[in-house]
Amino acid sequence: MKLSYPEFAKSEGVSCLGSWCLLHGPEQHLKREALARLRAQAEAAVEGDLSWETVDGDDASARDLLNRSQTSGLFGGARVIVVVQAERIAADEQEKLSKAIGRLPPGVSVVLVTGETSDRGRGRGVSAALGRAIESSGLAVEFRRLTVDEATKWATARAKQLGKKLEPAAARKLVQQRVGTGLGEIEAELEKLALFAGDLRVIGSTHVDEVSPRLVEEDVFRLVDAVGRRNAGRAVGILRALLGDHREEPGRVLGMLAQSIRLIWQTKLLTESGWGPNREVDEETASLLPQDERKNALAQFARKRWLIRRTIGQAKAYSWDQLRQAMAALHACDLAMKGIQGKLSDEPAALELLVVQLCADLEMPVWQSPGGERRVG
Amino acid sequence: MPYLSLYRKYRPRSFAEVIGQRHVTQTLANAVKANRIAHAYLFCGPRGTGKTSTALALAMSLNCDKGPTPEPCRECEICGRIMAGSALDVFEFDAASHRSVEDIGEVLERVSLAPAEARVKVYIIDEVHMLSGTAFNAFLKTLEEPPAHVVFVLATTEPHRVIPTILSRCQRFDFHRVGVRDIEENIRKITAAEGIEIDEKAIAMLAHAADGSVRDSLTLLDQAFAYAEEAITPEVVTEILGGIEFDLLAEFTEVLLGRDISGALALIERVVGEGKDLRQLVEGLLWHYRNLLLLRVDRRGRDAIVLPEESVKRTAEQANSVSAEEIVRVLDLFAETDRELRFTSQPRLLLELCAVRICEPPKAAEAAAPAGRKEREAARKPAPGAPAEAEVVAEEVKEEAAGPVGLADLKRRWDEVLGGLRKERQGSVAAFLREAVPVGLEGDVVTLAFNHQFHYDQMMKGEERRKAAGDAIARVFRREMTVKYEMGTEPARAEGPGEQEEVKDYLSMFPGSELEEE
Repeated sequence: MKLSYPEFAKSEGVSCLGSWCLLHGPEQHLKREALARLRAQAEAAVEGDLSWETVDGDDASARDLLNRSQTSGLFGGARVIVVVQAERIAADEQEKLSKAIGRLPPGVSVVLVTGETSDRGRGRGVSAALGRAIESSGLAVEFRRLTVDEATKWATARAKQLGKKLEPAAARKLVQQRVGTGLGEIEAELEKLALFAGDLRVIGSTHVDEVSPRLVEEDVFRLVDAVGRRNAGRAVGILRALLGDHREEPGRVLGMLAQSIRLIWQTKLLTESGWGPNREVDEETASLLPQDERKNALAQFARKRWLIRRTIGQAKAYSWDQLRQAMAALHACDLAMKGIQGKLSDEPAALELLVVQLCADLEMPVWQSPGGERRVG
Repeated sequence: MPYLSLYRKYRPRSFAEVIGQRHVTQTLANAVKANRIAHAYLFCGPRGTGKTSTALALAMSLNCDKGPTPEPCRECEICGRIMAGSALDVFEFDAASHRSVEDIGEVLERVSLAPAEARVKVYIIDEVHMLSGTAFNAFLKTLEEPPAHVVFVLATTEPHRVIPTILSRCQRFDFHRVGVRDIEENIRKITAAEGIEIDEKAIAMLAHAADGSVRDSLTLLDQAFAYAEEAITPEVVTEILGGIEFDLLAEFTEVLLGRDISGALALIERVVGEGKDLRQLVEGLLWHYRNLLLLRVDRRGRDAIVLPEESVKRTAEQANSVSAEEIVRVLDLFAETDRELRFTSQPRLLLELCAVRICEPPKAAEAAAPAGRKEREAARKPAPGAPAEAEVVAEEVKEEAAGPVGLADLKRRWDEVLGGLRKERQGSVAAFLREAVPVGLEGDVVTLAFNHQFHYDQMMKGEERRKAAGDAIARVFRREMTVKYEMGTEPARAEGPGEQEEVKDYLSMFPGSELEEE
C-alpha cells in the first residue's frame, strides 16, 4: 500500500505492525512521530514484551534483515526491527532484499526509515525495486514537506500544546520568514519562544523578532527593500551587519542581491502585463520567464507567498532604466571583487559602494579598469 | 598571585551578568527553572559576545548544589570548580585545533559514562564549524541520541559552515554584537571597581574600538591601564589602538577638502615622521570617505557608522561641505593609489601625487588631462567591421616601427607609454607623466609639458625617472628619443589649426588638400 502523510495521519486503523514498512520523504519530524505511533500501537497490541531493535543502514545486509525478520519476539511478544538511514543499505543488498521480501511471522514488523538528506532527487531514497516490493507486500508512507499553510496551522496547534497562544501574525512570520516549513525546526523555535515568553500566555510577532534567528535571505530582502526606497543609511547598516555580525561571504551576498534584482525584473514584467496576486498571467508573458523553477518568479511566489506583495512593491520602486543600471553595476562590482577589472578589490568596500550607488544613482569610476577603459557600470 | 586579566576576572558567572543578550539568557534561565533543558544548543555570533560565558553559566546553573537554578550560588564546590575550569564533568573542547575524527572520538567515547561529580555533563565545543566532515558525522551519531545526563553546547562564529544535520538537532541561539552604551557602562563599572581613573572620551573610544565585543573592550582596557602612567586618557587609547586614528583621518580630509596641497604634503611628511604605515593611512581614508559618502547621500546613515558621537558629528560636517560626486572622485583616486601601493617601492611619493590630484579643481584637472576619458575611449573604439583591437594594435606596431612618428601618434599612444612604465614597476614615474602632455615632436626630440610644478619638479629631480620615461617611449615607438620637459599646458598655446602638429600630419597624408574653417 502507498500512502501520503495526511492519509496516513487520518487513517487510525492503518499500521505498520506485522508487515514490511517504508517511511520516506524529507519531513523527519513526522517520521519520528510515525515511529512513536507505531511503538505505542505495538505496546498496546501485544501482551508480552516488546523487542524494539534499531539497525543502521550502513551496517544492514539483506541476509541479516531477513534472518532477524523470521525470528519471533521472546515469549511470543512483538518484535519491531527499525532500519534507520535505510538509503545507506548497499545497492546490491537492496536488490537482494527486494526479491526476498515476503510474509512475516506474526508479531514481527520491519520498518525502513530514510534519513533527512536521502530524498534529494532520489524518489523514495531507497532503490525503486525495493520501494515497489514494500508497497506491494506492506506499506510505504511518504512524508513530504508541509505547505506554508499546513505548517502554520501545525505551529499554532503545537504552541497550544505548550500552553501558549501563537498569534496568527507571529505564526506566519515564524514559518514564512524565519524557520521555513520544517516541523523539527518549527518545534525547536516554539520551545524557545515559549520559554522566552515565560509566564505570558501569548506569543506575538515581537517575540519572534527578538528570539528567532533571521534567514540570510530575509536580510538580503530587507537590504533590497532599503535600496528600493533609496534609504542608503538603512541599506548600508543591514549590509555591515550581514558582513560583520553574520560573517556572510561578500560574494554570496552579491549573488543574492543579483537574484533579488532578477526577481524584481520578472515581477515588473508580470505586473505590467496585468498579472497580480489574484490574476493569472497570460501565456506570452509566462513564456518570457526563466524555465528553471529555481529562477522563475511565479514558481518562487508559489513557494513563498509572503514574497508577492513585497516584491510587487519593490518592482514599483524601480524604473526599467534603474533595473538595467543595477544589473550593470552588479556585474561591474562582481568583476572588481574578483580582481578582473576596476580599482577596488576590497570586497566589503566594493559591495558597500555598490549599495550606495544603487541608492543614489551615482556614477562609480572605481569600477573602471586600471587603464581607464570603461566597459560596464 | 599572578595577574588575572580583566576579561577573565570579570567574566559573567550567571545569566544575569551576561551583557546585551537578554533573548538568550532569559530563555535559558526559564528553561532551567522549568527543567526543560534541550540536549544540544548551538550558540552563534561574533567573538566576544558571551557564547562561552553563557555556556559556563548554563553548566553552573544545572550543576550548582543549590540548583538546578538560574542563579547559581558560586560558593559550592562544583560552582567553584566550574569557575576555576577544573570541573571533571564540564569539558571545553576547541574544534579549531582539534578537528579530526580521532580528536572528537576521544571525547565522545566518554560521553556515555555517568558524571563523576556533577548532575549533568556539559560539553562545550568551541568553533564547531572547524570540525572535519568525518568528525561531524561521528559527532552526529552521538547528537542523535545523547545520554540523558549530557548537554552539548556548540559555539560558532560561522553558523553557515555547520552542516544542516547538526543544525537541525540543536536549539539555536544567535548572539548579537553588544551595543556601545552597554559596553561603555561595563567599562565604567569595572574601572570604578578597580579604582582606575579614566576619561569619558577614552571610554567611548574603547567601546567603539571593541566593535561589539565585550572581551575586546576589556582586553583594550587592560592594555590602556598597563600603558597609562596615571589616568587613561584619549591619547593613551590612541597609542594602544595603533593604526590610524580617526582624528588624523578627519584632519587629512579637512586639508583635502580645502584643496590645500602644501598642507596635505606637510601632513604626509608628519605621518611618515611618526612611522605610520601609509597603506594603512590610505585604507583608513578609503573607509572614512565611504562614511562621508554614506552621510552625504543619506543623513539617516549615522546609525550605520560605529564611531563616537563626536566623530560622527565631525564626519557629518565634512560630508555636508562636499558633493557626492567629489567624494566619489576622491574614493576613485584613493582606490587607485591603494592598488598601486602594493607594487611600489615609493609609497610616500604615490600618496603625495594622489593628494595633489585630489586638491586639483576637478574641472581644470579634467581639461588638462593628457587625453580625456571620452577621447581615449573614442580612440580605442573600432569602427563597425574593423578588425579586433588586438589585431589593430599589432598592425600599428608594425607600421610605426617602419614609418615616421608624429605628435598625433605620440598623443594617441600615450596611455601605452604609461602602461609600459607600470609594467616595468615604474608606477610613480607613470603617475608623474600622467600629468604631462606631449606638446612637441621635432625629429627625435619629444617635448612634454606639465600642468603642475610639483610633477615637473619630481621629474627633474631624478635622472633615473627621466631615463625610465625615455625608455618607455622608445619601447613603444621602437626608436631612441630625447625627451625635453617644460612647464605649461597645451591649451594655453595659441596655435592656428593649420599649425597644430596633428593637423599637419593629416594634411601631409593627403597631398594637395587644404584646411577649411567652419
